[in-house]
Amino acid sequence: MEVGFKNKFTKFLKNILRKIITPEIFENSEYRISFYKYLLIGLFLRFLFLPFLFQVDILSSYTRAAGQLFETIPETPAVIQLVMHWFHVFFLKIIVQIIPNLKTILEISNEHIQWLSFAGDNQVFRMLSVIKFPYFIFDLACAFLLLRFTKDTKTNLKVFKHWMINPVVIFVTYIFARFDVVPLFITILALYFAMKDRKYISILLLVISIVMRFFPVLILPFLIIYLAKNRKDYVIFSLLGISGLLALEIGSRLLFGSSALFKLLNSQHFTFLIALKWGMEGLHVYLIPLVIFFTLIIISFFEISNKSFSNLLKYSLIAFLLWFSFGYYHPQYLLWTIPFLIFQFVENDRIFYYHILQVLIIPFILLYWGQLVTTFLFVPIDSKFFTTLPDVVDIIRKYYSPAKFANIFSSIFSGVSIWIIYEVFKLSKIKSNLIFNTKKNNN
Amino acid sequence: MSNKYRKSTCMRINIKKRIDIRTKIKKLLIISLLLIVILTLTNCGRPFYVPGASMGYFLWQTEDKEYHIRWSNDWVRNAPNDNLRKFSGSIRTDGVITIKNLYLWEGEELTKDIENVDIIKVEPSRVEFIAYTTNHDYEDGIDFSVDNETYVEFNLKNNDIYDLGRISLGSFANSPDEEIFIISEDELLYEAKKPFYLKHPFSTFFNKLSYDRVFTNTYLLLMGIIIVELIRVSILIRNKNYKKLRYISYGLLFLILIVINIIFLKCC
Repeated sequence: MEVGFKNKFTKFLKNILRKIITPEIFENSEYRISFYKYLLIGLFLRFLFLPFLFQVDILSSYTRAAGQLFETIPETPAVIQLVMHWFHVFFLKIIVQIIPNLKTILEISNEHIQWLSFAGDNQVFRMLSVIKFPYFIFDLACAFLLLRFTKDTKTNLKVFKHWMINPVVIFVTYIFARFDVVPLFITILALYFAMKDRKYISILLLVISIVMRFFPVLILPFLIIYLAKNRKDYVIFSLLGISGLLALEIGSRLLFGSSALFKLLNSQHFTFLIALKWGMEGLHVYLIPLVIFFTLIIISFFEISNKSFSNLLKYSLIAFLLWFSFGYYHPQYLLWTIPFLIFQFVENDRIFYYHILQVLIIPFILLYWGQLVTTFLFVPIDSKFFTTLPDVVDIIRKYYSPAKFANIFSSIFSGVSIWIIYEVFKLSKIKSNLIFNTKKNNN
Repeated sequence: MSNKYRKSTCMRINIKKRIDIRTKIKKLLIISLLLIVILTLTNCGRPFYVPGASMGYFLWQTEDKEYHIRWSNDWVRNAPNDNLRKFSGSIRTDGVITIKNLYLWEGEELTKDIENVDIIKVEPSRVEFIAYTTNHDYEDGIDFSVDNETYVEFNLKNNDIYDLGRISLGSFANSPDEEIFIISEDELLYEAKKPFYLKHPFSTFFNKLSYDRVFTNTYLLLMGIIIVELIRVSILIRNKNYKKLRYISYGLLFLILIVINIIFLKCC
């Protein structure tokens, strides 16, 4: 009887594994081993950084959540990040059962003292592991979801490998410790359903991710153009597309008596997108390059005859790269290009090498934010050591303006991004060699 | 040359190139690792600081028993008075102090026109100093020796207040616990010669790991399993004695964990 139970249990586990990692990989020993190797390498890289490094913003997210949970903060959090706020409230409720000490730290009102108390705590590594754990789950979820996009198993494994070892994914999620991987997962899920021609689910999921994090709005026009087959579709999908923001606006006015949309439009995050302007001498009028080029690519996608899923991914990538070429961004936002980029790596090796160039430039762009993204990341290891260690910026400053130094590299980054846009645009004109799992096979 | 022959030659050349590149990358990684190990094991003998970027006091002692104290200002853009900072204090001992060198000192006798001159008052068993640094004159120091001493007492202030976190004794971030602190004979020399794992940041890092043993053991076990599994599926799987080697690998992992718990986590 025991043997029977053991066999049943083994069979049950095998079925679950088979479903998670796809039957094509599970049933082929060579693919299974490759998948396992990539998974192990990815996990090793993640666990290397997960417990030891963080940027202070993760504490802010959990402090706001603690304020809600333990009613220590009278004011409500920013409405535009309400969904992520409740996400953190949900996880904090579970986390404080495991680490009660965390509650005491999150209740410290002074941000600087709270940061040092957290980093200096003897259980800081445990606390960091636990508070980053939800991001780890969604990171793995992204990886497993990306396994399901194409019909070719080797391609799927390459995509999985690129996600698991990508330095931007590891930096943003485990070193910088930001939550962008959560709305990114919802976005990838939206694209998955778009690929399966499940239109309404796809649009609704993208709307949810827009409400979580504003940036997926950049790919909304392309998704609508891809999914719509007639004018009625355009109207319905456009209305659905803005429904999330409308719901947020109505909810905000009813519950808090203030506008969420205007807060969003006046927020720093929105200003980042339209920061670069071309002024007209003597006039108050200016042009915004990002808006110009963004409009051009929407029209380009609308006009092309081959509105394939492959081209949807390409144009979505172009939208995000345009932002990073002509707008201002925080380091964690670079994560948004990765799922779109890795499909291009598989199609064209050269794009991968240009991405490596981007990755090599990113540390220099990080100098904009000084110690916050350099020495202070290591504060949990030894707070005294890393708060007093001179920053790279302080050393550069002795010889040259750090802002000019970072700006030069930022401009090089823009140049490389624009070149990738050009390569991807060229690829969109020819038939893709990736065979996606679309319902209609219109790759 | 026939096409097939050309193709196979090209393939062989490509494979050879790939192997060459892989070998070169492996060599590069091994050399980098060795360099990191050498750097972490060797001692500089003085606290790490970057003049003009680090802020605070830095004290060390050389093999000839000479004491060296430096103070440095960091650089702050648009700070009032060119980021003027006052470093002042006294050094007392039960021995005899001999000043060997005043480092980048802007005393009265050197320049008459500067506003904030560096002043030093020397007595046989006591030295008092007041020095100023700015964004442009960001470092000063005193080199001195002490004879027949059993202790040297330091009283160091930064803009007339005590900032113990900005004093490094022998090694960076090794700060005193008291405002007026005493250093016994050769203490700074011993501090500099300590192995890396007993200096900041490693000492604090290992202290935290040894405090939270549940986390540390879980973490090391997890990482150990990942490494063993990687070795298993990459190398061992092709071996004839695969099953035996698998058990040996896991056995070794548990042995290493036990050794780490006994020796390392206990001592720190």
